[in-house]
Amino acid sequence: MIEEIKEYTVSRSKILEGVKKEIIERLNVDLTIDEIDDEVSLFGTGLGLDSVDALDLTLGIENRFAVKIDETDTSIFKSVNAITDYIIKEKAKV
Amino acid sequence: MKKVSFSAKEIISKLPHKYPFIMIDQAYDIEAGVKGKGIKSVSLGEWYFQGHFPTEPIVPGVLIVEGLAQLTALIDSACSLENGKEDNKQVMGYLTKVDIKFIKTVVLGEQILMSCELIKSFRNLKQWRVSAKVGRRDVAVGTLNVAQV
Repeated sequence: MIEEIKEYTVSRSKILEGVKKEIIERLNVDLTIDEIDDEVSLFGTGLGLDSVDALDLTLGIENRFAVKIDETDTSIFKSVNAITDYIIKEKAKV
Repeated sequence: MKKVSFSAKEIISKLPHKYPFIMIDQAYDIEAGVKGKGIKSVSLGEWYFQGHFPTEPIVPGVLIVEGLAQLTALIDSACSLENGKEDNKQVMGYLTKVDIKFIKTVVLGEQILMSCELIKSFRNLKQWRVSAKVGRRDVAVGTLNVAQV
């Protein structure tokens, strides 16, 4: 059980880091991985992304993690944590 | 999928742009909302040659991009034909991102063959893979992001 939790934690951390890399690289965000808080709001006052960034981020996430982003679910891009949870949920379906 | 073509006259009615800012003469092989091709023949009468450049007429790269963007609007406008709605509906799109590599200049007398294909649609945003060729040679390739309102 402990091993499973450890494995899950490592796997989640890798996904979380990958999400941050996509944000930094695709959207030219001038921050490091460590500077992006897991819970910070991506749009508006948080990271300051706007709606046109959503397309690039969607493409990046879909290509990197081989998941399909549901465009009707507006909660996915709430934060890095929210994207990470969505990816984990989608991967579990496969 | 059924393919459609648009003549210059149809293009003028479908695009919100008007002279001198229509950068495509014909559109063909259009699969509604998915992909299509277009032609722009570069003649001596082009308004931009007055200044770009008086002694060496070169088509501005940004206007090649504009032609490609107009082609994406025409590909989308074909959806109204498929849906059986009015066929002269104008599609208004705004470029939100341009990632184009310019490979070769286009000069007076050449014909630009444009090609656009949808990569991804997300809400009101679309990303297109685009290319412009003269003959068989690429002159501009890349992607365009367009927001429709």
